[in-house]
Amino acid sequence: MEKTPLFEREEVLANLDGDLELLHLLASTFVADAPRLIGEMERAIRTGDTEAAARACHNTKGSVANFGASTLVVELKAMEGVCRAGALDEAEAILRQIDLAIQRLIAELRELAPPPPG
Amino acid sequence: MSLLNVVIIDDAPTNLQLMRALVERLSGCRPVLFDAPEAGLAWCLDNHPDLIIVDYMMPVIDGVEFIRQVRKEPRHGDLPILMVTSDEHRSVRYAALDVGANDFLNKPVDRIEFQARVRNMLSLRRGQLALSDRAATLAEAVRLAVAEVHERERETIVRLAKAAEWRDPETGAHILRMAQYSRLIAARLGLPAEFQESLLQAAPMHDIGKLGTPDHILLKPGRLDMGEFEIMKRHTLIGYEILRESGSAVVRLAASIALHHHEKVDGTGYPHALRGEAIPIEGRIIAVADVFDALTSVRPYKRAWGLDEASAFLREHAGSHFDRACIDAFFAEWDAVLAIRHMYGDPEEELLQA
Repeated sequence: MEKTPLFEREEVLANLDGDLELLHLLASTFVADAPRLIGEMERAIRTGDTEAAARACHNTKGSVANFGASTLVVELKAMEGVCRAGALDEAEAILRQIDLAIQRLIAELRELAPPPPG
Repeated sequence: MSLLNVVIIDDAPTNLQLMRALVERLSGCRPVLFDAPEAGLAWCLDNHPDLIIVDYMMPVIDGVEFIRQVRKEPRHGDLPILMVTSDEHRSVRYAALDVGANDFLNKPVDRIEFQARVRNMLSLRRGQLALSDRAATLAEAVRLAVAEVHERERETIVRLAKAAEWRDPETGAHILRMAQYSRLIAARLGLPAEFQESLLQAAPMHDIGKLGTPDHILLKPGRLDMGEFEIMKRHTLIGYEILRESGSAVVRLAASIALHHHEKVDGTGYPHALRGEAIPIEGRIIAVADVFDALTSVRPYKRAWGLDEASAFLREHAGSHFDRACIDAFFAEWDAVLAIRHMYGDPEEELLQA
């Protein structure tokens, strides 16, 4: 079954006043930044830093939310709560799901935006 | 009108780019971007931000701490600051308001809301800037008006001193020189620049009480007898009466000078036979300046003393007639004393000496 896209194109484009160029810029900026966001969540969970883990989830949620991605936003918010509660084992399991979802969002955005030069 | 600086601080590049684009679409402003709060804070403290938009959740310095630091800078007391929040606890918002955030922006950024709030804050800022320009203009106008009042006051004082000159055989050049010597001594003693300037203006009135001295005493060519000298002494009290309780600080200083310039530190002077530091510093300074110039000038009853002779007299009477510190200050400025003598030389005296 075809999954509902994470990227909510119509709403996002409306919020940007139909500015496709800006949308492309935001998409390529996010795609370039995503490895850092995921890396921060991974590192914080690995080192057992609950506060940093919660903050990393929060920041990822903030960036992802620019593209709609409602279900992913909900998952990240839940994971932020789990991290804050100190249940990092549980967070690690959620992170695997989230990583997949982010990769899916990246793929959707890549279709839209040509990869950044270089 | 120059562009207003909208400083945006967010460690997430996607948000930073979005807010930059939205600010660029507004007229009259330009975005200044920072992805690290430390660099953003340094810029804000050294430059002229007009609006700060700061994310809450950042490493090292969070949005609340950032605002606290910015508000410490006195120039940024009224600067509009917006904090970007998503679903932070209410206590975070309260903390932000407590340290001086003006309002909040919601994440994800909604274009309509974002631009409306930024526009409102910029319009507030333009109002602040216009008001502060107006305040600066008014302050300048007040400064000019006060300067004019001071100038008129100074002119009145000069005219008063001129009036006194008509009653006094001493010349205008004497008055200018002794006023300049007084300032030299005050400067050397390390007294405030404002006091030095007041002394320069007030010194010419030291003998204004001679307006009340009868002609037969004031203009007598020979030495005064005891009775005449007692009457002559009263010029200190008369001068004080003329000048005292003025609204002008310079004239009040002149009153003190008129009263005290014939006092001697060993208590043998007049009118009150004050000793040492009971004589106000202006009185002790003027005593040195006045006597030195009187000695080195021609008077109806005496020749002009040579510089060596006059200097020896001052040194000899340091600690008895004169305040020692004033004498030391005077001789420490000896080159300047000679320059003043040269600049304000007495043409008539030069003729007499030739």
